Amino acid sequence: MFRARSPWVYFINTGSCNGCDIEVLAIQSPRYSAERYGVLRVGSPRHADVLVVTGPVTKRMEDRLTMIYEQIPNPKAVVAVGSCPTSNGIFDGGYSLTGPLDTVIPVDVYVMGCPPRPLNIVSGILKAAKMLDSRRKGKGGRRTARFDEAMSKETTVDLKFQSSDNVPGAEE
Amino acid sequence: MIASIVVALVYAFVAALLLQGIRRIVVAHSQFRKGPSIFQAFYDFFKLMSKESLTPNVTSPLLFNLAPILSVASMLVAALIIPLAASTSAVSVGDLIVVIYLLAIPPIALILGGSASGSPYGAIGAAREVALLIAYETPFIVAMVTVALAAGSFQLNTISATAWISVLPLAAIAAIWTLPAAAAVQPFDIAEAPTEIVSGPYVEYSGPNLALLQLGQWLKIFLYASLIAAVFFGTAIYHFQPAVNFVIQFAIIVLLVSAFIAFWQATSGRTRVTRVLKYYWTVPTMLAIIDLVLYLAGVRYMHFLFGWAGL
Repeated sequence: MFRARSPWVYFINTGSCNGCDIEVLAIQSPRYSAERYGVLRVGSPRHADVLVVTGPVTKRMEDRLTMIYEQIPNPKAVVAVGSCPTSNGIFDGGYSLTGPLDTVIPVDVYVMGCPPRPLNIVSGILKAAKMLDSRRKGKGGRRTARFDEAMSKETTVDLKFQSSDNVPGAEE
Repeated sequence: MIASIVVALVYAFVAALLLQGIRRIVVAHSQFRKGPSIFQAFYDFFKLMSKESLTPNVTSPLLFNLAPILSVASMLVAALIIPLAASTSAVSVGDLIVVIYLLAIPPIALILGGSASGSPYGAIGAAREVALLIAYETPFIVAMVTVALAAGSFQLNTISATAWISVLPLAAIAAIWTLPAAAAVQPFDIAEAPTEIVSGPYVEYSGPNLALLQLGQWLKIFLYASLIAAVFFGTAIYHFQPAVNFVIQFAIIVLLVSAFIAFWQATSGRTRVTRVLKYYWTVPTMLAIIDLVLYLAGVRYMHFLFGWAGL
């Protein structure tokens, strides 16, 4: 019962046009005030319970998305906000996409709209938070096949502290 | 004695978490929002306790997992030494110096945990926590030493027999002024800074470890305010039934926290790291030192000003 009352949310934009991000920001405003349900925006995936994803998943963001998903401690839930993570939306068929969100990570709640209204996003987060109650802590470490693949190959994502000569443009 | 220890620990836990709910409600209402439930901190705490705990590969696991326990344990000891809603503390072994040292342990646990987490954000947060700790401890310790000199004792039970705000008001102002920095909320949340260095020392913590680290911080806010209440407002007001005493003390703490932490938090942005040191080492430290010097010189200005009122 405690999990449903304090969903801490981590937002990630995987190639969205920023329309949904504006609406996601609005849920913290005095008008919609998601904090009254205990919704709190956190800056680290390790603090989060609910992952809110906007945008179709681009090839660049795929590895980063799976990595962030795996870093969220169990139990966790995923909310897809907008048409894009559900069906690629108007970007469908684009050369840089790896498909809708549910082909990359498991999705629990879809919030439709282009962009969806802020209250619908709040309602989606709360639905996902209710699902957390029935999930076990140890169970359902739903590691995706794509995550193992991303971890095994030489990825561009290096979580270690990069030295300055790795940063492009640092020579100048 | 066992009963009073249990009562003090349970009261400190419940009050510290309720206080966070009240603080968030006050902040939300100041910003025309509705705010969470008053029990929100309980929901957050028990939710985090029921989650998985992750330890990153690059950490030193012992230090990383020890820091949250250290933080909570030191605060539980402090809860027994500070007089909470009674004329005496639960155990009479400690004094003011022990309490001042114990209140510095949660930040030190944050520094240890942040440094051990192997994250650059954790390291930056730990460095900032050091700066913050040095900044607000100075005026606080000078104010407390002034009171101890005036009382002629470091024993909290002896000190808190008098309401020292009526004798040393400048020291009281200096001590209360350090509350927002001790609470590490908005103007002084430089070490956490969620929008800047993603929660600093907390960044790699998850689940029960995060819950304990936050509980240590919440207990610290409550006990810091309790210490200020006990020293400057005295414990002579707690001569009713125990239940009434708890309500009186909690009301004082809520007033202190709402006025000096929550309202300030709701209406200001984050300050720069370097400015905190300058801020606390000028006016609050000077106020405390003025009171110290005047007391040592034998100037009883409150008696001079308000002698007709019997002070």
